Amino acid sequence: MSASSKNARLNRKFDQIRRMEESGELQKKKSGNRALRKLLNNRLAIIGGVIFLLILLACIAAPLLTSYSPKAVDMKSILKAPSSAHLFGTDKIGRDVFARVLYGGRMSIAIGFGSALGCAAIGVLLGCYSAYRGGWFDSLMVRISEVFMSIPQLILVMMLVAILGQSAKNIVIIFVICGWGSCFRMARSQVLSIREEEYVQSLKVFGLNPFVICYKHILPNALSPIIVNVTLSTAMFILEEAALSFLGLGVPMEIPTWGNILNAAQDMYTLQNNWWMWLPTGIVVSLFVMSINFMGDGIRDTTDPTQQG
Amino acid sequence: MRPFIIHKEDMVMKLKKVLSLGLALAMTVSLAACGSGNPPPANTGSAAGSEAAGSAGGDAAGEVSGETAAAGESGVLYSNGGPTEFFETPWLNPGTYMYNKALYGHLLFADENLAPISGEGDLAQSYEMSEDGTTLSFTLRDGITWHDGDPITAEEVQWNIEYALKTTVLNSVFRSTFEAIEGAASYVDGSAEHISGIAVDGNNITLTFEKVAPDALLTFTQFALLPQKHLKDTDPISLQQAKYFQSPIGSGPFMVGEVQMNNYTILKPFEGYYGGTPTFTIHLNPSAGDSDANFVTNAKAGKLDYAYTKNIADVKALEGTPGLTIDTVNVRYTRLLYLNKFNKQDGSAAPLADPKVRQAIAYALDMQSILDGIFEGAALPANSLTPDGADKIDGLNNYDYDPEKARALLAEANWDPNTELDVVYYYTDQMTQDLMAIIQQYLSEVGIKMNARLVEGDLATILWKAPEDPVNGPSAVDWDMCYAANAALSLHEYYDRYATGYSINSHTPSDPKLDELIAATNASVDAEVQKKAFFELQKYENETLFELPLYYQPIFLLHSDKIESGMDKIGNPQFNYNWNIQNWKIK
Amino acid sequence: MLKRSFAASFGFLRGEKMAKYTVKKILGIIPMLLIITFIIYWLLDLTPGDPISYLMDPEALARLSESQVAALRAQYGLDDPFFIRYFKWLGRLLQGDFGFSSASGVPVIQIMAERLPATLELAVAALCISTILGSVLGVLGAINKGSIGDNVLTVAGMIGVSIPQFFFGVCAILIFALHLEWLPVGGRTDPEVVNFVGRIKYMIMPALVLGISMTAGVMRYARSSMLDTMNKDYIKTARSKGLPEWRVNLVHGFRVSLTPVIVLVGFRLPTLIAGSVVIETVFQWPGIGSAFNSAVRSQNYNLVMMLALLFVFMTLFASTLVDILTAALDPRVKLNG
Repeated sequence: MSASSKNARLNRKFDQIRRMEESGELQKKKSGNRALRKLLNNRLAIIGGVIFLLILLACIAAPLLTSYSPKAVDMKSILKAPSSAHLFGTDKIGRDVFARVLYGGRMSIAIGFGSALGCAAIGVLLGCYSAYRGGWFDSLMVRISEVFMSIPQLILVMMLVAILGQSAKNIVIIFVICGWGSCFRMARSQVLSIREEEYVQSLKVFGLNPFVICYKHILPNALSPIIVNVTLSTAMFILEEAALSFLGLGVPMEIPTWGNILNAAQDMYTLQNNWWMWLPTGIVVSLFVMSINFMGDGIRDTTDPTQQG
Repeated sequence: MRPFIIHKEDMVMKLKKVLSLGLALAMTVSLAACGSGNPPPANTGSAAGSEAAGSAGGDAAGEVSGETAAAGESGVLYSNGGPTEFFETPWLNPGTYMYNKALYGHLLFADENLAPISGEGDLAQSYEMSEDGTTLSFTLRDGITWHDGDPITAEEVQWNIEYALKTTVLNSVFRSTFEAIEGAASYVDGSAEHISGIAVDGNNITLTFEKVAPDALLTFTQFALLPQKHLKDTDPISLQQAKYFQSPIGSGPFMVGEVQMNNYTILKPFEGYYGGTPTFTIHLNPSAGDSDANFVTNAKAGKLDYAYTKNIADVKALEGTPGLTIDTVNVRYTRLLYLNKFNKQDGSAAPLADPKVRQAIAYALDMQSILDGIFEGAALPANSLTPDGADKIDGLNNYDYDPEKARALLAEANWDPNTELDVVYYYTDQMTQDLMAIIQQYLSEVGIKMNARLVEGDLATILWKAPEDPVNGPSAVDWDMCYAANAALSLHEYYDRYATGYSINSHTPSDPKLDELIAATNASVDAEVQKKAFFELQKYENETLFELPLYYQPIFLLHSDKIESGMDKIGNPQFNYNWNIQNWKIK
Repeated sequence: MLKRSFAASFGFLRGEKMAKYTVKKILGIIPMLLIITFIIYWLLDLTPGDPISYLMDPEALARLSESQVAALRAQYGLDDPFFIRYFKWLGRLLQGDFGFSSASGVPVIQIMAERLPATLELAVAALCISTILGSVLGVLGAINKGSIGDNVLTVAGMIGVSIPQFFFGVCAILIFALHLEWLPVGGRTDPEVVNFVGRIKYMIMPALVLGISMTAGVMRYARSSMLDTMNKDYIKTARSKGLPEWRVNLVHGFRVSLTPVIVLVGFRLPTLIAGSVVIETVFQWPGIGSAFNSAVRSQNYNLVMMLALLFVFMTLFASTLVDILTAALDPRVKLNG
């Protein structure tokens, strides 16, 4: 990394320290609290990280944790309450709910993370270049992203689902089409501010390839908000997948996903009588989304000094 | 979520299985309810339920109506199926919606088994069918009017028939009856201005049939009359889009009071109804098609007093709710797999062309266990399109679960275990999804691979496009099996579609034997003759399995104890029968 | 972004240049609308099947003769190529003819007039709830930064955004409508009750569910905005002048820090209206979201187009308004850009 970027970072660090001093002086009686709060915030992030990893690993290691297949129908044991044989019980056609939650988690997480990553990849790639290059390319890209962002997301999703049809792959494509715009804008504004920094100017003078400057020297300095964005949108896409399933527009019902499992337990009878079909799944989804949110917050707090506490 | 999933509808069977809030658990509740005298006597059969109701129909009908709410006091009956954007025309699904049954009058009455009642009709004072079935004449009642007070004339009946033939929303039973009238063909092709076989004389209408119309009487028990003056300027192609269907005017016991689309609709008593003025109003909650997503929540909240559902989950959720009774009504509604026997596009033989394979599939499915599992035993395994009852011959092969036999049949048929059957379905509900998974599991156990996929979009082409050559194919559709429902107002509807060259026969190649058997069922208006012909057809169906009937799905009719009396007969709630709603007493 | 611009000086208009900028921005909406409606029309055209295949039962449709099907297609103007249809639609639109719903033949404008108020009512109620709750809690959190209460609020807010909305709604129905029987399960009115008071009990649950699930975002924003303001020089000055703590917080901090929150909230209204499909479905709310869902699925062109136009216009309008306000208030924004 270049010396000037180190310098910039050092400067930022100093700024941060000074600000901490100032606020510390201002609020003498709360100075202890502030440190506590920082710690706690990190603690929330840590708790979030632990939950996240637990659920993620459990889903990845699904075949080790359960011997049932999420699709194996067993008409002889339908709607069984949780027991040692079936940890989360069985559903209306005798499938093991625990296995479905684990395997469904794989799919839901893959959809959420894949979509977030796809959005980030496209958004960052275009955003960095667009901001660095400027000119007509930049204004064209901004226009295009505005078009996509002006169509309310759910509406675009509904139309695309009707066109492309329902499949896990299509859902990811649709989420990326609908979601790249905000990532683009964020990456672009980050790069715009970094572009004017001295080290970039000096690299230009050296005559480096603009792509190299853009992606090798500028991008890494804009990375932390992008990482935050990827984590937070993973959570958002997982929730969105569930909402689409509820509207009957999500992943085809035969593929277990968290949204589909919850959706299958929609009727009042199941809600009132077969709690194991929805409660564990609902808790796992909410916990997972929450853990991602805490992690995202934590990362933001530690990397972005302008965000306080 | 398809907005237009229209299940064409069914019919009451001779057996009326009575099941007070289902299952043994609810036994006590239903007994308690009977004790208080609230539900009509017809519903108090044994909870074991199988064949209890045969005799229970008529007795004690009169006793209850004595002690009723004071006349003139206006109660509110809550129901569902309220319009979300428009009132559906009554000509495609004549009774799916509560409003279609309450708003319109028909020429004839059907009883609760949908058999036309002889003697007196509904709007027709009397009618007469000639012995050979060639002429049918009606005499309208005197003084009957539309809801706006204008008289109903015999000319309007003629106009209704003629106009209906030009619309695109006509039930196929009605259509085949009307097309059998003399001169209908030249009217339809535009060479004649009127149908020559319809004669109007004062209050009398006489229809002369060119060929046998086996369902003529049934048609007129369901065919609603619409007022000519409100519709005569409407293009029949876009009848449904007429302004009239924002607030239709009929001649039934109720008229439209207030419409808040997608919110609520009020039907109020029509004081000019010839059969007496009801003493209550009807409040309709909106719901599309025949599935109401809010059935349970509304029922539990006391906002549903009379409604039906096909969804067993709804029934289970309402078990034991005080004040509610749910009757199981067996109807003509058969869920089945259409089996494509035409050669594929590339000329290869259809995997299901061999009857042994079809039989193997039938043996491989343990329908009884499946139905016990997902229907709690409320649906019955099917051995024919024709539901159980007097219309079906005894001694059909039930294809009881026998995986060994299935494997043996497959071996005989040299089944290639690598063949994967392409199964399509178009219902988007969870139960269909579950059933597909179950069928997949059972078939894999005997060595048949299948893949189920949901089809959407232009279903008319995807499912029903008939091949250009109805004898040799190749198939114009690309599936091997299609899970669907076959609902029939008349038994003919079940089988006519398999005749050679029928417009929606996408999957059964021409079979002279089958054609002959189908023709025999349409050759007479005599019920007994028809029945014999159907027996032969059912035997052939059972041997060859040109489709695979899976189960008979009943309809669950919910009614609350707010209906104090008057509801003595329970028939198929999706069709019109003399339900006597104008005399119900509502708390 | 917003925060930075708004915290800057207020009421600083740059005269003529500003007016030009405003006009330019507003005119900029028009090409966007054209492009977007074209895209939506094109997407509709791409969906499998056509309106006719959704107008009636597939079996009945398959039974129709070819001439009948052709007549139906002509009726809905489906004979023309897609380009011509789009420009015809646009032409009619400019003449003020919004067309008819293909399902019912009802003028689209009438459907919108019936449905839109319901959705607006719900959206506004939810916005009020989330804004009031969110900003009060956020500011309280900021003032008592680091206290147990603040942490509890943060966690609770996070839980609020992490539960799938429909799931939250269904659970609420289960508890408050079916078990406790405090509130109706769904719908918008009792028959013949048109006044607002009669409708409140129907609105409570959907508005609360929608509002609460939005509160966390507002709360977080209000909190950081308040923290930001509290570090500003004039607050420090106010404090140093010995004003009581509550006055400093309330009068100076609260007021100033709320401005960006309100802009954020205004920005959310259009998305909220378009995004209420799920809640409207759960609570049988007769609004525009559920109408849109079924219209898309049945290719009800005129209805979809008008609703989309409305949503897009509102979104564009809101974002343009924010741009203009930002420019008006923040001298750093380049007006010729």
